[in-house]
Amino acid sequence: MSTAPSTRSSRSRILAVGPVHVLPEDGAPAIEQMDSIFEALGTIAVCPASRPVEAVLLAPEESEDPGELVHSAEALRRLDATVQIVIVSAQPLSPSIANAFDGHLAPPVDTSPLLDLLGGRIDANQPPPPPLVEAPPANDTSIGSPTSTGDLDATVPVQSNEEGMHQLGDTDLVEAMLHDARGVRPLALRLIMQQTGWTECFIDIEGKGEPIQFGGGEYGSLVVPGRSPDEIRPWASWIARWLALDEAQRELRDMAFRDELTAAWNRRYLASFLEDAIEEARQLRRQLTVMVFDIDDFKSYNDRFGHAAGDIILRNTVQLLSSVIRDGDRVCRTGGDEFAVVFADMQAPRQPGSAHPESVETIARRFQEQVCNMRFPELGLDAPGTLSISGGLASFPWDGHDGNTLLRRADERAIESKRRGKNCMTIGPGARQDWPGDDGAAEEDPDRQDAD
Amino acid sequence: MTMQTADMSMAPCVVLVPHEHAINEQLPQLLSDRGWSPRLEHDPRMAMAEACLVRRELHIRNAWETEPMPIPGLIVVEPDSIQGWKEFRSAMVNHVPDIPIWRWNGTELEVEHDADASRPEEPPPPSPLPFKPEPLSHEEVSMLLHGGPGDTEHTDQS
Repeated sequence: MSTAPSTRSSRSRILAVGPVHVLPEDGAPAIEQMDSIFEALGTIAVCPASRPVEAVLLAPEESEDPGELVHSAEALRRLDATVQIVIVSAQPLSPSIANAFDGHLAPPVDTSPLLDLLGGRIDANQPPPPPLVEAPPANDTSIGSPTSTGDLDATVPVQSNEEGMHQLGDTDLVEAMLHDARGVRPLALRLIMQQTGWTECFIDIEGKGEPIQFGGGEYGSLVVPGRSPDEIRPWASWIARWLALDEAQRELRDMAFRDELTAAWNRRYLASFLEDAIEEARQLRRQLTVMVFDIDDFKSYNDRFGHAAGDIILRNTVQLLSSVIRDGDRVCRTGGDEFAVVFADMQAPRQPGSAHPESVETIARRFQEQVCNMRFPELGLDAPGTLSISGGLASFPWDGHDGNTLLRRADERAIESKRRGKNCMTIGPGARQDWPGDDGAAEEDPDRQDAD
Repeated sequence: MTMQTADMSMAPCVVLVPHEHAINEQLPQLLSDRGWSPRLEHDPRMAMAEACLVRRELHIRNAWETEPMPIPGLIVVEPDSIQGWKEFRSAMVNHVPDIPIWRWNGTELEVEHDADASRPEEPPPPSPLPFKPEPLSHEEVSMLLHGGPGDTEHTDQS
């Protein structure tokens, strides 16, 4: 068991209810003994945010059934869901009881396992995680000779390949993993065919071939018509590792570019995407619009209904927005309640003299109306009735030729909307014109405010 | 901006009723008459957690509203049959004394713990400064405002 120091804040508190005996050791955390579960509840209810209660250790009294403590754990959780609840009992626990707690320790409590448990390094109630690298398959001489070194490429059974064909390998697979939107799958299948000389090879999601599994992940089945399972199996095992790696890479990329709370794209993604989209718009002679907005008086919702309610509002706002935009558009969260939407759907049909500006305006207006109609039943009776947003729109090429300029112009218009009384969208003249040189008339409308 | 809110006139209270006890119709009627909306609990631990949550909720609400809403508190039915009643009461009074506790005697509510009585009195006025500050001269004011002696009236020439 690890003896690494805990990552707990030195100001956080640990409470104990019942006969919890902690061995006196160096580095043992200070534990406040409570007279009853009610004292623990009262302490949690009034503890200052600067000294939060991190954990409660519950030990049954001599004649008490450990199952009785489940209700205590429920009450503690209801009051503060972030408090870790550890049961200290010499008795083995049934799964139904053990699941009610974050951990189970036997008395007397050693400091190290306690700190490990509170630091999240061990989980007494969960089975150990699967190994990161699964052992390679046993040598199979039916096709090539997969080795057992565990190296991805080393497990590739080498066989004949077409003369003169580019020799695919791990660098191509890594390249695809990093830059190909389709991932490694098509390339890996090509590589299998290249190495084996098979003419057909595909992945069946229904599972009618050799299972492609690795590290607990299932990726369908590898099907090669006319080949025996023994021939296909090593390749299924090989491709499974690449698909698992590809999936892990996608998850990491998502974590780097996605906002965890709302699943919207983040500011880092916005900067990168916007520059690429502008370049594409320039080449295709299409326009692109950025909408910047925030939720009016969002802070008051947070103050009034709590941060959890604020989180629900943000998530619902992103879900709603995602439902009204088009495939190529992007919703990004740029700050607390601040969002930027890039209307960059290059595939959207564009008739002469039309329609992109109007369609963006329509989307923005529809979204603004739907936000006003949004309800939050999960927040209960005190839920906010009507939300509103204020924002501004700026378009390439009229309002700017790079991402920063567009965002700044849209932001200025959003501030103008706020100044004009909120629940307002300010749309620049650029967003209401056609591409220069097109047949559409280039109206010189001043910035227009549309308030509902 | 327009904001509609749900009816907030009903103040939430917690009613702790032991499992084996039933409450007659009078109690819900009485609570309704007082404008209290009851949250029923059978376990004292859950009741205390709920009462603390209601307290927190009302504190937040009162910070927002111009007219603060008092905490209705906790109503206990047959407290003597509740396991750990003394510890429960003691912890409530020690940690959250601003939550009133009421005892339902079958016909009316009796005060078990008066939150007003435990409320601290108005804080004493701040003690006077241990010295008497001397008034600043015009020149000293000018030094503070403009970094040099001169007229204390500042003219913005921009």
